[in-house]
Amino acid sequence: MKTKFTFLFALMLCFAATMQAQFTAQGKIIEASGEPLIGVSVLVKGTTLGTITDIDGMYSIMVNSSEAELEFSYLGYKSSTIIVSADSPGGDITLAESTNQLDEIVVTGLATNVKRSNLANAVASIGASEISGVTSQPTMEGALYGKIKGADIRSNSGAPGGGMSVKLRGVTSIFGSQQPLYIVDGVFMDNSTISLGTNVVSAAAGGGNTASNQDDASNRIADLVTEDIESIEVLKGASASGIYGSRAAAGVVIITTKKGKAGKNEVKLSQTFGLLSATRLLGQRNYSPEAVDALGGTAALAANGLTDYENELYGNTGLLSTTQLSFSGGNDQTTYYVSGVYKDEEGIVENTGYTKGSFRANIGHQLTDRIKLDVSSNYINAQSGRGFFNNGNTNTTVGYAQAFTYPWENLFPDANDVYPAGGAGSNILETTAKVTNDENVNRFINSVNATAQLFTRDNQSLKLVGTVARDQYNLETQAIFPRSLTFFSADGSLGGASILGNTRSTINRLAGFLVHDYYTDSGMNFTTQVGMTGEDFDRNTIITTATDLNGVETSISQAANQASFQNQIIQKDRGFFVQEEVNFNDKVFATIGLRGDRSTNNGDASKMYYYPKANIAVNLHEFGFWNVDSQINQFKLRAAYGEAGTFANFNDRFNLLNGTVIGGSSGLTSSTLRGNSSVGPERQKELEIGTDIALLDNKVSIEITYYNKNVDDVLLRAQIPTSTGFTSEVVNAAELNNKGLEISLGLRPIENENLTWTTNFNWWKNTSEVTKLDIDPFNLGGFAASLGQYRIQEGSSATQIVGTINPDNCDNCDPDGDGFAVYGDAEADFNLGWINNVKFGNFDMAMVWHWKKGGDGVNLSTLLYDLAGTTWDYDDKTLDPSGELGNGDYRTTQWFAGNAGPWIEDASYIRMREIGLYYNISKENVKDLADLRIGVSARNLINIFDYNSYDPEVSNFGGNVLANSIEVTPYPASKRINFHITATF
Amino acid sequence: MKNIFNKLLILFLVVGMASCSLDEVANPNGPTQESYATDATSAQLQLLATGVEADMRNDMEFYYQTVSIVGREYYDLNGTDPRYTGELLGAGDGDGVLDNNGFLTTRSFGARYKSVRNAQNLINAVSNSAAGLDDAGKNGFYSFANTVKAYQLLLTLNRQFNNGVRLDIENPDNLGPFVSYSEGLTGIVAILETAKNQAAAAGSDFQFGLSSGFTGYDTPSTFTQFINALMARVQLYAGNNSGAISALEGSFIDAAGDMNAGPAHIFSGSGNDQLNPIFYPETQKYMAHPTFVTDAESGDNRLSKVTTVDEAMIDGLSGDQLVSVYASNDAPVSIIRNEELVLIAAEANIGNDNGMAASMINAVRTANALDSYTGGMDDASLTNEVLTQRRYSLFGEGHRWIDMRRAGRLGDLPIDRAGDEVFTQFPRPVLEPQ
Repeated sequence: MKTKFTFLFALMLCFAATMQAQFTAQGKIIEASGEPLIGVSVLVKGTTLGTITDIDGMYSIMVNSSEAELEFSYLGYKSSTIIVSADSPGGDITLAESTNQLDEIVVTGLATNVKRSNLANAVASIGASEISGVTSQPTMEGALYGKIKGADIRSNSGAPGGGMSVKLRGVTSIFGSQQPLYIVDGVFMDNSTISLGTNVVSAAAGGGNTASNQDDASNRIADLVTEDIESIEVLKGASASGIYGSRAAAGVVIITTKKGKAGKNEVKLSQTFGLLSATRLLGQRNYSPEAVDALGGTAALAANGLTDYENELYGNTGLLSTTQLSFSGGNDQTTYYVSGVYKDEEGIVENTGYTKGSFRANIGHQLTDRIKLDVSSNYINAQSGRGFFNNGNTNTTVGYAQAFTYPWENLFPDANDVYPAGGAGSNILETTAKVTNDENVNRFINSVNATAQLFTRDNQSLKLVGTVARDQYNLETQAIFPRSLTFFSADGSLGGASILGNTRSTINRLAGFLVHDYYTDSGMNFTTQVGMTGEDFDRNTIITTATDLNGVETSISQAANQASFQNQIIQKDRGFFVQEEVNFNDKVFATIGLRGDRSTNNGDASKMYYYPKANIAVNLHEFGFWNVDSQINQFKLRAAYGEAGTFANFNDRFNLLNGTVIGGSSGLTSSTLRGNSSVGPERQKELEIGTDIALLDNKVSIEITYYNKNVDDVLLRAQIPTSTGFTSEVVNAAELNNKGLEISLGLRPIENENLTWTTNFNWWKNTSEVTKLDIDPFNLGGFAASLGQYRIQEGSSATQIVGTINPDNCDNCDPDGDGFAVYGDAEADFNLGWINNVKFGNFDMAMVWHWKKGGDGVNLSTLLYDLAGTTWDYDDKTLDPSGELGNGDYRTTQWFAGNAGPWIEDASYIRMREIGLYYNISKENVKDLADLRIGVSARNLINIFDYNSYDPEVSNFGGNVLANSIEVTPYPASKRINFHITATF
Repeated sequence: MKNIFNKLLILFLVVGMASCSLDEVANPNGPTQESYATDATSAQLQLLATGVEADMRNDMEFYYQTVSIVGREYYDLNGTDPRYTGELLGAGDGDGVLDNNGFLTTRSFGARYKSVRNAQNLINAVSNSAAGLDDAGKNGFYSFANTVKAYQLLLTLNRQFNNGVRLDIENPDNLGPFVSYSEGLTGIVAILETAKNQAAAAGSDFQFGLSSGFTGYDTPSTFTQFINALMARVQLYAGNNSGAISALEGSFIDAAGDMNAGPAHIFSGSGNDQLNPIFYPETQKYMAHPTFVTDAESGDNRLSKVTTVDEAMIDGLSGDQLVSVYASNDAPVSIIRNEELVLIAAEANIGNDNGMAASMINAVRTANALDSYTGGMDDASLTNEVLTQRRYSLFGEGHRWIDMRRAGRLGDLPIDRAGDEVFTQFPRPVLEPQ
């Protein structure tokens, strides 16, 4: 086969030779240090003729003309061109490392890349040094704070092991998925949050429910270790993500893991030790003797004195450790990256913590001249002890009971290790010591990507790209509430609980693409790609709950009561897409594309839904308006339009029959939800325009993007006449709009041999509006209007927070007369990220600041503390305008008068997200042993906020963006300091 | 040019491949209503029938409690929701209203119509089933389903009164109109007539099983006695005394028999079964109106329906007589029982055969350890006495308010706080279009 192609190639050359002069251009490509660069792509401009450099950095290419321009490009280096001719056929080229993003390659199609300078979308991307280079990241999303414009990232709790939500460019759906699609090396990675089943004990969502979204479970993208990530690209809206179709309306996060580089065999050992402690402790109420007496604590105070239980629970310092050993390198045929990462993190609460082990092997192999295989495989075992926090209705969650625990109580165990019952309904020290609530996930993520060059001609080439990918995990959750807990001592109590959950999730993906490249004589480049994709999703969760345990035993089979809950989700998607990219000499770059999707999740599984996209980028600086030594390096105008979808929930298309039992016989009854058998995906249409400007030798770069996106056919659970027998129905009954502005300014104020300083400002703002609502306005999220809720209402922000009011002490608070006043909005006024990198000799330093201005939260923790009379600021008099009441009394008085407002607070913050200072020692100075990098870093070291609780970033209801910002006694957030040493052999 | 052809060829190839159709995925979490609507097997029909019976209990406490509290039989003094002592008692200065979108209005309404939907699903499934049922077999299912439908509609009509009820819900996308109270009763009579005729054509046995709550009423002929019992109640409400008396003749009435006889909802704590939601342990402060005890004749053994406990006070209301109609959380709740039938017989005979009315009253008095009736034999006195007996015999079973309304005497119900009022009916839920 190979010889045949070679023969053809030779034949072509002969043919060409009769027409034109030809010569062989050759040379060596090195980097600044003199090291050869292997695998640099060498292209004869205006043709598809190309080659790559070999293990010595050498290239050799036949040119079919007397003169030609060669273009050299290599990831992480500035592209460079030279003119070669028969007289001067090349020579050694030194490629400089790239410090600006223009040369970066961005994945835009499913199988093609584009240079950032030609990109028509504001695709955010960050590389390894920004992801994990500054400080150690417990989870992937945490590394994005402040770095991605348009991304609202929120930590749902401080519990070890993650639990974060990412919202890209505003609210994209009300009842559908609002979280982006994560794709890791071609694998669709599941990011579910699976209930831990602890509702049986906490009754947070009322009794009787097994699964609840209030039990502080982690989300599964947290499994991925950041140390292995090479780059993260974020397609924020439909204009960029449209090619991913029905799953892409909430955006797509494309994660690429590290690959080996030919010739650079490297062994890297890296160790991080760290300390973690609570971001903030609130302290205690300054009780007056009268207050103690009013709370009935005088005698207990005399007997027990005061104990700072907050400090007992959250005053601990946890130890952190991350170890990574990686091997990478290869030759011109095979590259490898093999990495093992082990993390061990203690929580600030006893009996909680996170350990994660990850093993990855990424192998690339050039099978033949024309066929290349990339195999990526990853095994992860992650275990987290989550503790028992968030809302509850049985006074048993640690956070909830802490609110009602008075410092004069004695909660410590006696000499026989027997705990006294806590006055709060449970003893927080006992609960912390005895309850375990663990997640244990075993996960395999594998993909094989094959690229075959089907044919290559002078002016065109065709390649086939195939991907087989699979993500599978098994999640075991186990919560044990021993019978000996004092809150189980009453008659009629649950008698202990042992809760075992098991989830198996599999996502299989198969995709194939054909990519055709064509160059015209006039220098235009057409790239055509067509492809098809198929994904199969299968998730099965079983939670078995045992109560009334057999004495001290926790075995489920020995318990007197057992109940099981099962939920399965099965979905198959099939799609195709076509895309045409036109590059007119890097001056104008235009793309049109179409995606078609069908899915079993739609009412009609055979119906194809189409998502078009089109965009154009004009590089004004390439037109020659400015001469070459102009100070304008780039001036690009761009516009992009695209559509993408959000699937309905799995159950939305069914009129289910639910199980019931009477007298030992089972039966089936109508569900209260009326399914919609014709349900289809929601559709987002996004228009994005912007400009990218680089000035003064790229010392100044500016990016401005404006977007306007409409979501049509938003699926709602509309209340319908209950005389139908149903209470709600799935209908397409709303439209949402999000508009936003994203601006970044990058500067390199100082750049010389000794000192480089780069600084980037990322500023963004989003405004949402419910533009159409065919059903009556409704409240959602939260608990009740008197406690602050979201409200979907035509003409209002989708994230407005409303609550009840007392009209007597509020004038014109409720202009629309619906009984609710608007107390705030969870959407931030704006976000500002400030990223700094300084290189000074062998030192380098990085610092990331993040300012979230505005955005409100509902602080129900303080409500509970106020009701108990334990709030730290209870007696301060900063709120009452008349100065008479203490804060606690003022808030509760307001609330009892019918105002939901007192606990709806501004959740702004300014944080130093990351800071790192490193010293690099090159191996020459340590007897050629290894390059060393030593440093100290911190995460969330400085946190400035007025919000009256542990942290303004919180969600009692997990990742749902229309229920988060509501806090009920969460696991407190923490800050970290790390010490690093890395040796590269 | 050839290039373009090549591209188009590839394009069509890919599109063609992508067009392979996907099979629908069944929901593994439960069957769909559609899958039972056609070709249901006999085992599937049994599941639906059991569901119809089981789901009648769903949210039933919202019926019993709202009706009992508006009728001043008892109070919810738990204080967990202020609406039980405020809104439901008409608190205000005589201008109290029931929220037409609050749960006091909507929960019972929705739950009863869900029951009606279950019955309709069963009827649809039977008529299109693949169970090989003969006409008699089908008629058995129909009779059961229609009886449940009629009973659930009657409960709804009891609360809605002049706001009417929707009888035809067969097509959720094209619901029938709301009809007036009297048309509602007429419609329910017609459904019960149909059920009776279907039972008569259902052979000797049902092709499905019912729970032990229906023991003694679980064949077409004995089930007919239950239908007739309900018919007697509806005819009485409609003011058709002769209709009530003739219905009673086909019912299980037995003036000398067990006053509790009759089909019932049963409960248990096992698995996914339900507990009796209107059994009140001492921790739940559902307190009888104090006059229940003070108005009683001495020695009335129906006073056992309340238990003296610590006094509960909230919102200016107080009580120390815990409602203990049901003895445990798995005690059955009668749908209709002999004692009511005897009292229907008494009431329906007033004005026609007052002697018979008095003897029926005495049957109930005797059964409850009271001496025979000694009051006047005029219609008004007897009506008074029947109302009193119904108050005590059917305490907490959802009758008092309806009885006083029928008698035009809601104004006689006690008002405990200035500004409270006794509502005549519940509003139509806001989401119900005409």
